[in-house]
Amino acid sequence: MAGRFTIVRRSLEQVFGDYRYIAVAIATALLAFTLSVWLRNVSLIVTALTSSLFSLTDSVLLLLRLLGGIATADSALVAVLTIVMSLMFGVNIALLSYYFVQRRKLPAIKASMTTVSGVIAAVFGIGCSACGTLVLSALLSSVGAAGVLAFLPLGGGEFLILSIALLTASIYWLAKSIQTSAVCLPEELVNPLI
Amino acid sequence: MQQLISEYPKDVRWVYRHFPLEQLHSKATKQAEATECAGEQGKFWEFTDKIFEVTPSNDGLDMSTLPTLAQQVGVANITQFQSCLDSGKYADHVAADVADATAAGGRGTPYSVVIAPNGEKFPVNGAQPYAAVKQIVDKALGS
Repeated sequence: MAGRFTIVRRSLEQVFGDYRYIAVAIATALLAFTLSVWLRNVSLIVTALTSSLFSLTDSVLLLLRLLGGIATADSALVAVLTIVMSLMFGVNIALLSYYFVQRRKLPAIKASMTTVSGVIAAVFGIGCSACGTLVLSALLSSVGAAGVLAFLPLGGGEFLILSIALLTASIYWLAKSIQTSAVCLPEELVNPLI
Repeated sequence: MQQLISEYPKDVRWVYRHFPLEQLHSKATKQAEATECAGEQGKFWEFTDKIFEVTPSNDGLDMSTLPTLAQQVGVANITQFQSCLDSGKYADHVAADVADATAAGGRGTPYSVVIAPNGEKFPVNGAQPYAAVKQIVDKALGS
């Protein structure tokens, strides 16, 4: 276990030693958070953007105000899970970008697929605490199985937890990929921060 | 909603639809019927507010307390209230409201639709910040 932490720590130090990847992580986390909040009100946003009653400034103001929905529409647990999921996603994309820039190829299928799975689980988990997940309830309703949500105590927030678990696994696999040299080099050259 | 109504007493009308999510809250449908039974005696809003105030999450309300709650908000004839509740006379009404809400695009609660004087509709999913809802209402009133 300690070895895994060391791998992750080394990779994080290596990647975030470059401020550009800090910027990538922050920008991606903000994007993930923003989209996860806005996704709940897609129809309102589309209506406002296409309405003659809303100027562009009005629409931008509405979009900003809707971000406050994280505090009014969610339980504290779901709000925290959404923020953590967004941060984990930001870190994932920063690690993925770093790997891609260094190696000019995507990482092993295990790391890539856990990132993708984590994102899919997050999309399923997006919703408000009272109404269950928006995406999931719509999908289940369409196949007449909306009752499945009754068996999820967090009304679908479980998918955010699953997402965070998958993104954590993905961070590990990406970190491991970064620490694994493509060619045989002395350790100090592979990992100059040691 | 109450803040909105008090701020726009002459310009905004609040049309309420029951939207109990049976698959998430198995007691909500009967509670919705109970509000209509309280409404028979002029206490719809008082009883609705009370239900939302005292109902814990995850179906935690003891349904046997409904008559007591009705009494607390001033429903005078509890026998009539109980009889109304037992008869299920508002079951169809609540079911029609659910169908109405679903047809209007509702997939969860709370779900609101701001309808402008020109007929334009703005669907609001979840409990959004007051500033956002107020902005939508202001724009709708300007139509």
